[in-house]
Amino acid sequence: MKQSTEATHRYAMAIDLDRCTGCGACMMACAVENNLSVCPPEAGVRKGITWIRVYRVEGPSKDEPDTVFIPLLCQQCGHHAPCAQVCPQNAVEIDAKTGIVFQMPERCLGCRYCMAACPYHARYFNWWTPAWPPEIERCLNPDVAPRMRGVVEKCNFCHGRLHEARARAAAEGRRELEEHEYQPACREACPVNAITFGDLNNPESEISKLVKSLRAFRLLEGLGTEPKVYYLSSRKWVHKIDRVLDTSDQEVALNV
Amino acid sequence: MSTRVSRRDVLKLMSGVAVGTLFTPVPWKLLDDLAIRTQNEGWIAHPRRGKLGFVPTHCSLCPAGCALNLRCVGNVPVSLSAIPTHTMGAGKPCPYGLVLHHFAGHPDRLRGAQVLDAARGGLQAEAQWERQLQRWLKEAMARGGAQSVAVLDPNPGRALSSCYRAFLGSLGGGRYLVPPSQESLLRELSRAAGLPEGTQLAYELSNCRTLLSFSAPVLEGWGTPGRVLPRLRSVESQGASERARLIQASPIPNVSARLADHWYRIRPGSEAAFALGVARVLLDRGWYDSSPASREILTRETELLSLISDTSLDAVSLATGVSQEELERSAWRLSHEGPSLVVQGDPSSGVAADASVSRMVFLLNVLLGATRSQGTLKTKASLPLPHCLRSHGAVAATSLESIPDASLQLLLIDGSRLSSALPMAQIRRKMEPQGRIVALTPYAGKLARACDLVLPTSAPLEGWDEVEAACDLALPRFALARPVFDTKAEYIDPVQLLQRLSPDPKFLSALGPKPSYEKLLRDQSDALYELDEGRVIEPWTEDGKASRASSSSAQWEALLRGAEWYGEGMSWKSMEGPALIGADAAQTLRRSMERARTRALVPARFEQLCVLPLGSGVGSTGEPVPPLLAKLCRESTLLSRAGTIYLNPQTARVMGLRSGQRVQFEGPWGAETARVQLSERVEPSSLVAATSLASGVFGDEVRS
Repeated sequence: MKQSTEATHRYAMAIDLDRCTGCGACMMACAVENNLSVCPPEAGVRKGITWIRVYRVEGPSKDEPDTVFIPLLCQQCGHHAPCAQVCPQNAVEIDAKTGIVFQMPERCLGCRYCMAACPYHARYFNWWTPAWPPEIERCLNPDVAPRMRGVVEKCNFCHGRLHEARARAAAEGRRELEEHEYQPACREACPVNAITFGDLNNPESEISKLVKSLRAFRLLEGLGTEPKVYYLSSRKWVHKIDRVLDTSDQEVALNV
Repeated sequence: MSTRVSRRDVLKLMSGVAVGTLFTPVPWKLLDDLAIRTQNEGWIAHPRRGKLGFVPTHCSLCPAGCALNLRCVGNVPVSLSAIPTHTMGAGKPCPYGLVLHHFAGHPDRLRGAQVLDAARGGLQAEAQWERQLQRWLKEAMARGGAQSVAVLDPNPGRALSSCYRAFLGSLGGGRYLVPPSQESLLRELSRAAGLPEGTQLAYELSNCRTLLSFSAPVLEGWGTPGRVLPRLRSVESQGASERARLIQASPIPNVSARLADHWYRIRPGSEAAFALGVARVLLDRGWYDSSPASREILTRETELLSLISDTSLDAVSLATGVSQEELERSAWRLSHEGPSLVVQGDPSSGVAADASVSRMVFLLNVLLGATRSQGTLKTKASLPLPHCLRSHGAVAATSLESIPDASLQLLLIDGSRLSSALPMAQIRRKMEPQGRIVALTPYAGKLARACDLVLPTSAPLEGWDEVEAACDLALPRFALARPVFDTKAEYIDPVQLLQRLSPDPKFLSALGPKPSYEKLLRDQSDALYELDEGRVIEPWTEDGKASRASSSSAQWEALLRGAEWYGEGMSWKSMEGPALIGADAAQTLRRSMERARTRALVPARFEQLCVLPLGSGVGSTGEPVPPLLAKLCRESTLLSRAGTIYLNPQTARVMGLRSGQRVQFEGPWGAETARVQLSERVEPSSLVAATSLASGVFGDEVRS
């Protein structure tokens, strides 16, 4: 398997948790951009599909209440991505040119090994045939194909946008993209500019500088999967957030 | 060697081929192709293909009016993105704006007029609605006169609002009502300031360094999110001096409170008491603004000042639950880390519907120098009237709560776009028992179910609409949201409706032979062009500079292309002249203090709880939201689920309730059913409701 360290680009994301207000604009923008289906009402927290999902975590001190909102998406593992290791169908591929971990629904047979293997719980299974009200179906984004029932899907850093940016650059006779030409929908929608996206292989990029700051950390770094999603915070307890973040039980609404 | 092929050989070959094939890629390729085929068969949705185009427009869901670039296939928008260079909206729409193109396709759209049929138990299609409405209007005029006919406009300040007011004027003096909202609070503040009737105020956050908010959901879509959020949420290392500090005084543990720099968890209904305590510290320590204008106001407010000096900080502390040290600390921050601004939330944010809060908010702003020329509270110029309505006597705006109960015979509610919940309980109280409520709404939602006649109107991006300035923008502004989807004949144009209803020939001739909302907006654009101070800006063009249009038609064309008009030089004025907070302010405040103290002294009774709302904005209106948004609310738990109430475990134990149980709770507005969730963060005497209850109920005592 080709590792992303050899890639031409290494696209990565940094999310500033000190800025995030948990407004949900990233989730909404992602859902619209990637044609996430409208699951039936019985699809709850466990069976619903939300490529980027914002969790609320409370600080450890009871005297000084502190809250942080943490958007959780596919961490785009750069080294031995667990989902890619276990997929019997080779439906998970790490793009050698970009370092992005792709899920190919056409190959997926729905065994859900990857979901069990993913330490970040960032993969979602289509339990139902995707369906939209007829008037809304015509508003689907033409750049992204809806996925069928019985396959797994996840964030791919808005791959449709990458294709579009490449096509636009090619039409202008260029092979390389400017950083602003390819930005995921969540980054574009964030009202507080908490999300930064760019190429780690470009030392001049903003993301390269951000990930070197003392505020940067990654989730479950000890696993050695080298995630390419970084989080930023000045609060020390937030750096240990992966020890308290429980994505399996979020029945209590986050606002209270 | 024999070359004869036996039957046995053929069978052996066929078996060999069958077994060998399994070791080739062929079956796997077949499986793969089958998977691809099944994925692209007819039962999977196919996104629309065709030539892509871009349509710049504005989101019309709330007054922030974020500029959007719609990506369309034909005339169908397939995705949208914000315009980051946009000057007024700052290009950061909320989650509702991001799904703007799904509103028109909602399954709960109204396809025709419906009338309430009590005998058949619900709304029934009504083809003769126009005749029926005219009959109701005549009956209402005969029974109660023009005063008993009213229009409730949740979005005042539009050209359409002027048309409603002229229509009511043509009836001989109907009532033009506005519900409680951030804009109506600013009007209340303007009244508290003693400014001339009709003077609009706006908050100016660009130079604010400390913001004291009384339950205003400032981090949850308040004002213009693209301007407010970066101001309050920038990071220390990225321009600490630019960031404004947020002090939240609120009983509700919502996002704005928990992400604030300082959160004072005051007791429900004690906002005025907290403000009084801060004012007391400012005055005692001499930390207030010493400009002549402020001093002049203070010398007039003798009764109010004597009440403040008579009230001890102990009493304030008892009423609010905030210690004296914390009161002093917050006063220090406001006076020493200025410029400061004090804002308040509307009743749907949990603030008691009490005039004393507005008066104290204004007094604090005066004490902190927010009303000075470089201050954070500005006056805003109004837009001129459209040409066709200039000769008509328009009625003045009245707040819904100020009119007597049971005084309305016929009420028309413009529910075409609701950005906060309507206080339906209060509305019903204002109606005569025989009174009729008529609503213009795109959906068969909560509003439709509460009306006698529902008239379908266009949804966002389906009809004409306009954008006015939000509460945090001092510049007058005008922008269009023009139809992108095909306009359907069954949707009623509000201007045409008024023309059909008005008995006044002058009003009819003023509107012209074929009036429409589009023509009214064109008239408004022409009126704006005549002002020398106006500029048109097209932020997505290469130069992006504001300039005066060469002609009125050029201005209209630019607005159709998604440009925006703003009144350069028409605002940024400080409040001129001495303001008067009002002689009755002290009495109102005294009553409010007394209520807060009583509430603090009487132990919490679990059978009667104080309802506090959770969440405001488009999602709290009770109207349908696009299915994708509803899905995210269900699946992420980021946004509280509608129909959920939060109780302290202690309260639940005493009442014998458990988590997940469905309960009915009732109050003066009626009954609601909701699911119980337990949370330690809720005060034992409160009930936090993530329901779409009408704002009128919040703060009421309820029995559950």
